[in-house]
Amino acid sequence: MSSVDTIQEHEATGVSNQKMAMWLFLSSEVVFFAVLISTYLFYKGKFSQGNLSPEELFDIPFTSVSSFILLMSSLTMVLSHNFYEIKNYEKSRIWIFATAFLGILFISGQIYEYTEFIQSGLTISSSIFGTAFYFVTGFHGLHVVIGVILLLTTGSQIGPNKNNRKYGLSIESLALYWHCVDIVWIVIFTVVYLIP
Amino acid sequence: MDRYIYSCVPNTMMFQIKHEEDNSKKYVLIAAFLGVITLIEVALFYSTSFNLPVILIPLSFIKFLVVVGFFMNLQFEKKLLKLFFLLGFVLSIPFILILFLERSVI
Repeated sequence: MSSVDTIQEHEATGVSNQKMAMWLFLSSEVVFFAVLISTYLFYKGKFSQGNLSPEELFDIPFTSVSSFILLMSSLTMVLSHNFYEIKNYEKSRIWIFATAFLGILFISGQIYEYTEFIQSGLTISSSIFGTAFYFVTGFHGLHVVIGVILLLTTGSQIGPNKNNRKYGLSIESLALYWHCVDIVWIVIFTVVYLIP
Repeated sequence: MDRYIYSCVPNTMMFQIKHEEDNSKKYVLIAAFLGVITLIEVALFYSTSFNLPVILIPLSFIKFLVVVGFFMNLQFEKKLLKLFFLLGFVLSIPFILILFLERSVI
């Protein structure tokens, strides 16, 4: 069974301050994206007459693959955290870099998608639908980019012959952030892309 | 308020890290389940005989719950953290209501 180590950190609530702060931050992220997605729904039908409709514009098979990539990055992140917990720091580092790679792949897909949309006439200023669409997906993409930077930074700090113990909370917080980015995409993929 | 917060936490004042066993296989199975749901969603999208929102929203909600519950480990976390996360949804309701009330006025 599992052993328990006690770290010399006294926390009034029994939860580390960093972890509590991360959950509060995620709570604020939920509000932020809930409002952005609602705004998108509000303006969904308001695209210019000359422009293609979202149904004609979206490439569902391509976005499905992107969604699958982000979903799998949640798996690699949880594996990294799992290996960190069992003190296999080398594997933890490998899975962190795998997560960063999948994140970069997702962002590359989003850039390609944006390029296609812009060529088809959907820009951030072409219609109010375009503004809402780029705001929702763009802010999500920005979160992925920030996550990738944090993953690469953390991944470079752990490994053999390093003081790995001090990064426990950082990896847990990073994993929480990354999973939050993933659940936001689960909602965006369904609401923005799949539901007509 | 203080009494409520302390009721959510164990008696110990020490922060503890549990060294868990290798759960890799469990996580891979969960990810496979999420992948299958995504495939079902896309398959349903191309099927015209279903009312998409009625089916896709619950499927999306299942994926959401699985990631939050198992990958973010919220189901094993303290009540206080569950309340924090729930707070985000509660706080977003007034904003969404204002947005859609505005729409009905327009």
